[in-house]
Amino acid sequence: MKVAITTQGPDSASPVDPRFGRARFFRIVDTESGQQTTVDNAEGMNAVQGAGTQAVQALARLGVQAVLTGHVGPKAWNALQAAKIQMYSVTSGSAEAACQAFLAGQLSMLTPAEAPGHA
Amino acid sequence: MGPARSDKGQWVRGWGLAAEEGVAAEAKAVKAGVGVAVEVSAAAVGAAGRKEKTSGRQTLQPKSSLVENQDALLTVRLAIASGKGGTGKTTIATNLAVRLAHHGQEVVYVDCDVEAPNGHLFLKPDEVREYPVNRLVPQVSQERCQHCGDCGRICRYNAILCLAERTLIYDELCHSCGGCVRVCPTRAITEIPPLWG
Repeated sequence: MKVAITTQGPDSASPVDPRFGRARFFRIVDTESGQQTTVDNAEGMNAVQGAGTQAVQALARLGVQAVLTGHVGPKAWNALQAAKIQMYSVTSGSAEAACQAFLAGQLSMLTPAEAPGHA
Repeated sequence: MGPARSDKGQWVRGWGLAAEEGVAAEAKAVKAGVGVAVEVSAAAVGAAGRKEKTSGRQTLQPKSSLVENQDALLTVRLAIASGKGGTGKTTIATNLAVRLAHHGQEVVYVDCDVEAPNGHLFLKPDEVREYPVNRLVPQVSQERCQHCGDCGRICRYNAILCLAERTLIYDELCHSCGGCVRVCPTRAITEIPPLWG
């Protein structure tokens, strides 16, 4: 399956980015083939609105089934649920470490408390 | 009070006084867009009773025969806007409107402040009419949708999420451009008007 990790840098050693929609990069890991790519999210990061929905659109098109991130906004939350993409919680460490923790089943799923409502 | 003077032309005092048709100043508050505009039209009816209208941001051409036989109807639109609040837009706009009305000009005050229009507080209109304001947001027929994703691609506001089995619309992000309606190959999108204000 494909997993997306929100990161601050483009490679696997980069620290995770706790924000979802406005993350700097998405590190996409194919857990079966081991292949990894990076998606630049500069456009979403700077978007006036709809950064979360745009991110979900991009990830859905790539076939991502789970996302590892810290905070998800209400629209993105709603969109991820609709896209049936699971959300797991990581707030620190490298992308590689997050991926390993996910594969080891150590990560907990995000709860709606991490989806703060805001104007 | 002397004649009002524009920087390219000159208003002649006689214009305002020649407006004998009883054109009265009317204050309206309209919610649309940003900024405050004062629309001033100088109406003068000549001896022949003909009216000729030029509108827009025209310069006022000085003519020697203006006072005697004035047939021109000129509309000047003044837009008073500012990048930040509290700079004096309403102060200037309301005072301009009142001043010009006192000169006998027909004045229309258009308050385009969508958040807190306050011109009516100063101008105190006699009659207030309210109209409901709608905007259009897309509604997708999931039966007709073929999940091509064209609507999501054209939307510049990220208001459309095209998933494998569903197409979701985020009303609050939509700017009502109508692009999605036009690009949908199966005409699966129609527009509905949720009440806005």
